[in-house]
Amino acid sequence: MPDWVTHIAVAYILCTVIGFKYRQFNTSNTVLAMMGAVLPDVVKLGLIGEFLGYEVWNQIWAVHLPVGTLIIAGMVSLFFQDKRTAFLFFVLGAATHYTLDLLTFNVSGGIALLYPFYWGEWQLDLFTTENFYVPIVVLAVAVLTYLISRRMAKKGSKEAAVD
Amino acid sequence: MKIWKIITSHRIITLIVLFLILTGFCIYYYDNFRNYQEHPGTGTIIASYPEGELVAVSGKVTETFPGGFILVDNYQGDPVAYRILSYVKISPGDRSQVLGVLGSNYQITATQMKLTEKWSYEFTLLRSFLAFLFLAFIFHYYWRFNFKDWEFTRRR
Repeated sequence: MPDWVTHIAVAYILCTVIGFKYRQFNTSNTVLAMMGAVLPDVVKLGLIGEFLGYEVWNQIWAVHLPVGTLIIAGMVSLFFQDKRTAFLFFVLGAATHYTLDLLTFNVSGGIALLYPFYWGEWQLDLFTTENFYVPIVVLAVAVLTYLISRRMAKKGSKEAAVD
Repeated sequence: MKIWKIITSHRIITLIVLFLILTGFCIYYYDNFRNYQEHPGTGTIIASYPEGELVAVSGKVTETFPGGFILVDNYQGDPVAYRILSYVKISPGDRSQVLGVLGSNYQITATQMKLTEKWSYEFTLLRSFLAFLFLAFIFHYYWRFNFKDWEFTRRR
């Protein structure tokens, strides 16, 4: 799995680009997608267990599978005013997470995308988690996207003032 | 949409139900994942020791020797040490995933490996932590928690 810089930045880029056309993809909803992009990594609580000397990865690994993440997204979205929108943006962010995870390299296994219906695992072995060229490139694209969105917003507000 | 209203108006019940379903999926996964692994891992090795088969293990390098290193995996709180035969350059503290043929006495002849140097692993954790702080800040900037209704509402 890539680091959180990559996960968060990819969700931001996707939502901002879609936001050029659709108003629902505003910044506050984009933040929800960015949260959704790290939601599957709730499994990282296993690091605390590891630190305390307990191996709990396999006990909680289902939260790092799409079905588990959907349930967590449902649970978290219950604490938002517009629950449906929050849920959908969490799910969108989580989808970017799994897409990125699919690209990583591991010597065995992958992601059981269809658990509990099918246990087959997939991975595309394109890069390793620790490859820091990936977050650098993704961050650069995110900054570029941010600058373009700022420019478009300014242009939009100027045109509105002229009208 | 009646169902949606019922679900969202009984938040505590919905939360408990979802938590129980999630727990069920976790238990089901934990009970069955070994049967579906592409290659046996530490749990299977301890249980049935599939000597001569291709196994996949991961852990921390604790010691190196000419022609290999000692890899320690943590299985349910107990350390399991593997003697990995490989000529790859590696140092104590690094992390590794190893695919290889299991020999006697927990010796594995590596056929494929993924190495993570100690600094690289720690740097990944550090930048992820910084990203988490950034996300927490930006979330707080756009959303606030309404204690009256126990839900997040938009600030802007």
